[in-house]
Amino acid sequence: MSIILSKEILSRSLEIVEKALSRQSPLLPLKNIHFESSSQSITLSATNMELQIKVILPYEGEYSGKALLPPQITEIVRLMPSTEISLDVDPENYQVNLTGGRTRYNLFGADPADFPAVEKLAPAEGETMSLDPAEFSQILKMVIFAASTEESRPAFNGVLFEFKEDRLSLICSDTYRLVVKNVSAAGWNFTPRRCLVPAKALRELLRILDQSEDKVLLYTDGKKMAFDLGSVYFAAALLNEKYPDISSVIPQRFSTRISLNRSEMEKSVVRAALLAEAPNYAINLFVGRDAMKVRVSSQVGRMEEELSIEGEGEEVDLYVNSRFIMDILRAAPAETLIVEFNGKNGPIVFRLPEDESYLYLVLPIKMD
Amino acid sequence: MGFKDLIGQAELRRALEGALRTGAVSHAVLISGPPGSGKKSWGLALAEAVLCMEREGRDSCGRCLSCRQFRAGCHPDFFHLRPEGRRLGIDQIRRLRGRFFLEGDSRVCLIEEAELMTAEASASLLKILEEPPPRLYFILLSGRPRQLPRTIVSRCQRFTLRPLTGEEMVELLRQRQGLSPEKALLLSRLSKGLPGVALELAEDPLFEKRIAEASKLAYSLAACSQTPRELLFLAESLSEREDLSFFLELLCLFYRDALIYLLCGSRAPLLQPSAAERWAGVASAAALEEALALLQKLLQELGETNVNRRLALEGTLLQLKRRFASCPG
Repeated sequence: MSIILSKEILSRSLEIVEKALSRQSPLLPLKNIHFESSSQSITLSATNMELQIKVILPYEGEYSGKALLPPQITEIVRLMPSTEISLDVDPENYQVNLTGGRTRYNLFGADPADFPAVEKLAPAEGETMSLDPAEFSQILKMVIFAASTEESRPAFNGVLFEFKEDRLSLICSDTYRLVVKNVSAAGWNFTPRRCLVPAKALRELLRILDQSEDKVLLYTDGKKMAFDLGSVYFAAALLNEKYPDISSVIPQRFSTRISLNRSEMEKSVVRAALLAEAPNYAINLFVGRDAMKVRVSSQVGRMEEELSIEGEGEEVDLYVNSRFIMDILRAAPAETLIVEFNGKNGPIVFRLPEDESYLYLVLPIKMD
Repeated sequence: MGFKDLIGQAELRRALEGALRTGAVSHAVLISGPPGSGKKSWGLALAEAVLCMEREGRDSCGRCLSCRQFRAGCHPDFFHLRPEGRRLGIDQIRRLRGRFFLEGDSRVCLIEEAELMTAEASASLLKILEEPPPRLYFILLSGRPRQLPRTIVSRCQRFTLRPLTGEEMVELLRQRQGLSPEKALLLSRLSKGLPGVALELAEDPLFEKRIAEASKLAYSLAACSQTPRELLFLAESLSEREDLSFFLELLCLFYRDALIYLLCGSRAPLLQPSAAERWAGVASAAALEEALALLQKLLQELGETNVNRRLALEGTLLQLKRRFASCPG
């Protein structure tokens, strides 16, 4: 007996699951998609041992069978000529027949017995957090850009999820800059723990979140972090690394505080960055009372621009990496930003107006 | 394959089984030994035992999911690296690196021919070995451990595989190939105690034929039954053989066997006791001794210099004939 499925739904599900395939692996189960059908649902899963993705499609029927599907299945389904696809698995030899319109594929599937188990984690009582997907996506985007892409210190390739009793702190840093975002709501009661989730996995999650409308349930067992989106289950293996304590890094005082217009500043920094040079893409900021000068001078030439700001405190003249500034200006979800300076060599802190839950800290470049 | 399926290496076995029993397996183990000495078999057995979920003290159980996946070659936490092309490059390490720092069960990375790692690859490996993540084990195999960076070797627990003794080899070949002790002993000598080499020879369908051929030639040379002209033809046909040095080693073994028989009588351990008696009336101990020296010299020349194979063979065969003719048995 065959399963009849909508091509669009199957294709979209496969595209999601495919993100967890490890195409270069010499191991067959890690480069194949696990297919299983029962009387109520159809499950597609894949894992590369860093990520696990499982898509559950509701389906009513008697058919039950499982097989490993080759990675070409995604393209095969996408290019099928019909809007409905019929699929059946031969339990003897795991051959899969796909029919759509007048096209017929016979795929040599593999024995699913060796597929590493992708079991859903069972969340402990009250230890789950429910978030709106758009909101969670927004939060992740405000945090993830600060992760390091260098290999030398694996802890900084991750985003720290620090669960406290009343809130979750997301912390991300590459040692030159640091983001802290607190998420809190009444009714959460977590056992305090620290989970370091690889940024690579979160980037994949972001792509799925942007297409999802269901609430995200977030929970962990200390080895994996699970993001349950209802029909899609996404789990990332945690990094087993120590994350440094960041509380001493964030300054409690400031010598200068300004508020500025985000988009004006962004345009200005983009213009300045055209002349900034590797390796540190330095630009100069001169902060006065009611104006800030953005300046750059390199082998190519010089540029200077003045922005109006509202400031208080001392004048400050410092150098920063223009890319680090552009990142926050692009990610911040507000038109006005508060920036605090601590002298020439002290950290610069970006905050959102009337929002205590977020901060972005950059260290200036030391110039002699 | 578990340790129980492997033969010999008492010292290595004791060390590894002890480490597994106490849970103190080193995060980096270097197993060295010449090609065919069993590095890979021991490395794989160690990896299987480390990953086994229901380990019975000191060896893998061979039945749990992990062992079944391992034996089927699809264990997700076992990384098997071998040189791609002539070197083992940084990309191969980078592809796996992400997995090394994750939370999870034990993971094992087996690196074959570790001395072929590029400088970048070994620097990257060194970085991991300096601060090893918990439950990540490296097993390095190398035939030339001196070519490995000292910084890496110094961070590994080192084991060197020893050649198997005659008895161990006889046992191995009896178990795996069902060979008779007589043939097994011959293979043990020929393989110089390297089980990989012995098993390869045992599987060679032409092996029996080559033995018979060498045995016949050894006897006819000692009996001086060829004319010098025939010897020159023989030199030409021998020089075209691909397995020439192996063939000459067989000749050496037969002469050595004959020499032992002449000096010690039939109670000495002989490769071919049935054939030994024939030698008594043919050659003297002195001639056999000199013949052995000549053949060893030829083997050395063939192996280490760019000598003309045919000319070298002609010279040696003629000299052999003269020795055997001047001191008959």
